Amino acid sequence: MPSLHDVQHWLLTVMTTPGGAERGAALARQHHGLAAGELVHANAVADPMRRLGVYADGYLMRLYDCLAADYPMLQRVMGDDVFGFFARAYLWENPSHSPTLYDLGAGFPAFLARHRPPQTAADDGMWLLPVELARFERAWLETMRDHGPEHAHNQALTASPWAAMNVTHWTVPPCVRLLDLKLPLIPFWQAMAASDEVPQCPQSENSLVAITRMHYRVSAYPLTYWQYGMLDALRQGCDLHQASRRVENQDMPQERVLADWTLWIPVAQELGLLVAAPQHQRD
Amino acid sequence: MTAPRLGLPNLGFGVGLRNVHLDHILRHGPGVDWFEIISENFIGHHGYARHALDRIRAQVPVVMHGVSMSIGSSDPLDRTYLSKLKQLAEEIEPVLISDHLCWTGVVGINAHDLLPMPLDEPTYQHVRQRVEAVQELLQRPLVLENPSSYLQFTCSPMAECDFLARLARETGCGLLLDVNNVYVSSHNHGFDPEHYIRQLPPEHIVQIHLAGPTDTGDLLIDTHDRPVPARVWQLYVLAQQCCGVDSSGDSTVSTLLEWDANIPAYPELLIELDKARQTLRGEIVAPAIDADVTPPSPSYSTPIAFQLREEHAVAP
Repeated sequence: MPSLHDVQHWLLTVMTTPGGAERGAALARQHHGLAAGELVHANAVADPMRRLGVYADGYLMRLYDCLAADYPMLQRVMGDDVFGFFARAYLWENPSHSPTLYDLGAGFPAFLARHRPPQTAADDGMWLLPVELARFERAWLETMRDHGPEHAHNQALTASPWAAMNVTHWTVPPCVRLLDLKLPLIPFWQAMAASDEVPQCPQSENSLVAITRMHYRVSAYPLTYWQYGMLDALRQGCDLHQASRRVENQDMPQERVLADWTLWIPVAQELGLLVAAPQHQRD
Repeated sequence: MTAPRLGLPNLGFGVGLRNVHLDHILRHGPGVDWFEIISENFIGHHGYARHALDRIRAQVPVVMHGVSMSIGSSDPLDRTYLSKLKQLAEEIEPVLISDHLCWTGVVGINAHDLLPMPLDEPTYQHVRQRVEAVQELLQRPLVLENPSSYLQFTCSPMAECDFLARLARETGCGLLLDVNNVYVSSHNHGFDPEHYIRQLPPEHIVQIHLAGPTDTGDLLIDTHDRPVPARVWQLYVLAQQCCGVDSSGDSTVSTLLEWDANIPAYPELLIELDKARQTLRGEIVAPAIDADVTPPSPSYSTPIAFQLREEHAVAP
């Protein structure tokens, strides 16, 4: 009599082996010494392989559909066949280890980046587009779910940059994602959202982007070098002084950074990129 | 108000809370007595769906229904998951917490499916001690649902209904009787669904699930993508009869309609739920037909549309 662990390991092997239940059952027999016909009841309704096929087919379909739901624009850009090829390869290499399907696609952008086709240059726009778009879509999904600025009580400050000057401690809401992209994706994303057509691949160009949320609506905004740098430094725990020292350069001394920052704060608050730190965090 | 079962009230008639219906519910009201949420959808979720849930649960009761406890797995209990589940329960104060008599993975892999176990004495003892451990951790009775299944192991001397009945009596856990799952599994394995329902201890049944399966020509698949078929309504009446009626002649067990794929507009969903009320009043549910036959094709063994992505643009 096989143990519970053996039976479960056997069924998981049947379900998750690439190629379907037949190949899975053959592999499971090799690994566990258990045969489908001996382990699974047959009756007039269906034989053991048909029954195992329900679980094996369902496994891949379920996870594939979740990945497609997380990356709808990537699927449109790659086309169903190419997206399906990479998605299935990803799922076989990265089975879920999480209780939630939300985590399933977290590694897909990195997986795509690791699997650049041979003889393709690293800065080839046609190759960069799916990789960068996957990063963008994943960030969008994370922004939807993480803690946002909705419960922060600092919105009265948005009316006046002078009031903002009195606040010296700012935090970036956890839902904000900062992306350093190799393609200008915001116009591409907007064109994709507005039409069923897939636009031309944009020319390679560095692009700094914040994906943010306000009143539960997610949006993407381009950032300048110093805006990106300040937000990134604040997120890492720097205070304003430390952040501005990080960002300053020959063209933009620290005083200029702080001056521009002060003027930009109301806009950043309106976009959900900043909230005044609670009093206890300032003390 | 009927007497509580295991300390849990009869909530009346509810539906599964799905993202596509959130805006409608917030604008027009729940229209149901209660909602069931998928626990995993809200663990770690601090966006619009959680905001909507907080507003909705201020109006009607909510229960938490999980799909990843994996109570039958030979892996150790996932304590991290359980602590997050408990944290969510402390935040949203559900009337009850349920999951399935199944396993969802082993060796750390989650198949995200409700998989069948070999039903023998060692498995029973394994599941029993895990149910007790979960109840100790959650500090409340766990409620377990009978899943749909597409295979049975030859090394299973116990019937599922006997396994569940014994588990309920010996651990004090509650039962979520999914009459659609009974229908699906009875067809697939050739057992008597009415006998199955009569074997369960009615005093432990705290909730009944209704849904519509797909007939693929050989096996029935639990797709939750269509109206409830006539045979499931018959089993629903039997289940409510087994659980008894109160002094007003009303049913005593909470009823929930699940719909997870090809999800209809909310008003249509409520019309389907109203058939449960009509059925209990003895009115005929039309059309009195069984599930439509769909040509054999790959189907989810467990629907997961409820876990798919939310709409990008949502109205607060």
